[in-house]
Amino acid sequence: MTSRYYEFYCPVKILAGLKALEHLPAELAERDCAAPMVLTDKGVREAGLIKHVEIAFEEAGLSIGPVFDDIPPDSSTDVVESIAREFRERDCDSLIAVGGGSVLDTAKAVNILVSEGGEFLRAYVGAHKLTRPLKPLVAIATTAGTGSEVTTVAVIKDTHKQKKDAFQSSHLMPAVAVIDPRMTLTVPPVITAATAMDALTHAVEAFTCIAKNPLSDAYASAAIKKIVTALPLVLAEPGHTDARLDLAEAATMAGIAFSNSMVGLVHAIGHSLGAVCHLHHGTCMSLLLPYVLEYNFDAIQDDLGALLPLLAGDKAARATPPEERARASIAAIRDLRDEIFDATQLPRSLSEAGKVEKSQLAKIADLSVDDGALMFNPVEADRSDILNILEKAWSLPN
Amino acid sequence: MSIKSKLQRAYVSLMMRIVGRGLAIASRVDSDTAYELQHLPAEMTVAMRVYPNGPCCLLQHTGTDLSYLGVRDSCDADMEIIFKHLQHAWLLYTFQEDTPTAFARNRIVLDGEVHHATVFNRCLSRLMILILPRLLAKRAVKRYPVIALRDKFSLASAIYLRMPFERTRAAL
Ligand SMILES: [Fe+2]
Repeated sequence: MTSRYYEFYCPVKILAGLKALEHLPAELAERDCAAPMVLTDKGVREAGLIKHVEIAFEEAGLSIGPVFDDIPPDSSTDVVESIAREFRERDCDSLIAVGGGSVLDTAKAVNILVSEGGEFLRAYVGAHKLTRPLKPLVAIATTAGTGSEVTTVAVIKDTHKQKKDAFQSSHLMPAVAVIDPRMTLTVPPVITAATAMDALTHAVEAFTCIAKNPLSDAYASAAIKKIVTALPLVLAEPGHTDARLDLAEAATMAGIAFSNSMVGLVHAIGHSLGAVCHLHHGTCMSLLLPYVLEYNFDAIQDDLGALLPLLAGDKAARATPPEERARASIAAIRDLRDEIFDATQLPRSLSEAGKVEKSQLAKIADLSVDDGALMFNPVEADRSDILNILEKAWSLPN
Repeated sequence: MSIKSKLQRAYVSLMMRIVGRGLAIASRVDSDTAYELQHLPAEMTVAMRVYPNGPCCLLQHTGTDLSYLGVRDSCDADMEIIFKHLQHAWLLYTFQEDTPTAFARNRIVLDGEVHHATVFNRCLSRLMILILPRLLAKRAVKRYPVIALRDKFSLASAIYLRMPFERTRAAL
């Protein structure tokens, strides 16, 4: 008898494509909401993206209500708690988050407080602490990468303890995610590349880690194909709306995949690297991915080989003998990384990133072994294994 | 409850007594386990529990070591590793499936902080490596490490010899 078993869950309604934002007023009305609070950051506001949302509501004869645009890149419990107070004072009934990972995570955390009650987030740290549906949250991602619009997790810095707290519950998933090509159009190429590599890593880890299942595989492989095709187009022509939409869709698909199958060692190390050296999460993913795939190689060879047609095209895959396909997949990922470097100077190694000291590597390894993502990596990794990977990722081989 | 379930429950509850006591002893006799435990807050309670009516193995980190608080029908701990069904605990304690696989297959859920669970899982793996014969231990953990037979033997015998005398302590 097979012992196979999996669960798959994605209750998020996804609005994707031309004029997707214009459907928001109707979506809120359907959920009996009339007073949304908009959460965003200064960058998004300055890029004029809130205007698109405002116009969508004006056309429906509505206004978007209070806009909180002061969410820092590294959001904290203080920020969340003060937004929750404002939400209550202004009698809001729903949330619209417009931004990248930090804005979406903040909105999820605010939603915990305004739905569950209480002044402090501390009570809800951890997994499965929420027991009922929260208020409607609309997620409008402006960077195509994190997949946060379809995940059950929020990560927020505890202002007092100076550590990051993770909140996990299926109730944290937004009610609606909007993928509108206008919202990612202004992202600079280097950020586009970094976030796309984050999405690619979500998909590759979802496909190669131990919680993979047939449904997450389908989302992961479709995401990989789209990223590999669309990213070079966007880098060559940043205003390429269709390719931008492809990237945003791929990020959401990769998000759905890893939300159900989890991620592995690339993220375990990447989270710690980001925390210690303040390196962009996507950059961490991009420079670690090939080395971790090599570390996991024996356990993931078949899966990795199966990805070759998506990473390098059908023709190249057919021309590669089966036993060489896994290596060729890693090579294709390295090629993509180098192509991105040529276009955007996105760092390829830890030394190239310029923000990492060799003396920090031990600390990064120490933190990585406590990261939950390690549980789902197909190969066990202890502190010294991780230190080894970091040493390899330090500089490119000549 | 069928006879099969009754037997499974009895077996799981026996294994929980062995594992619970084993972890408590290992926290005192094995430096690796002690090192890992530094990462858990003092007075934190940890449970391995079968949903909905147990058995449930309860432990507490005293700040210096682990206390075994007993196996019961129900418990409420700061961090709980919850088997969604008795059968899943049976799979794990008969070494047919390791903890990461059980997590990956959604057979276990965690109620608590993830990094505490990773620490606890390392203690659990370490215990399996120490007290089980190599062939069984290999199935209970993701990777069987290089360990000198002499170290394994002396730690395993230290744990087994103390097991009959390991008291059920009261919570702090
Ligand atoms: Fe990521």
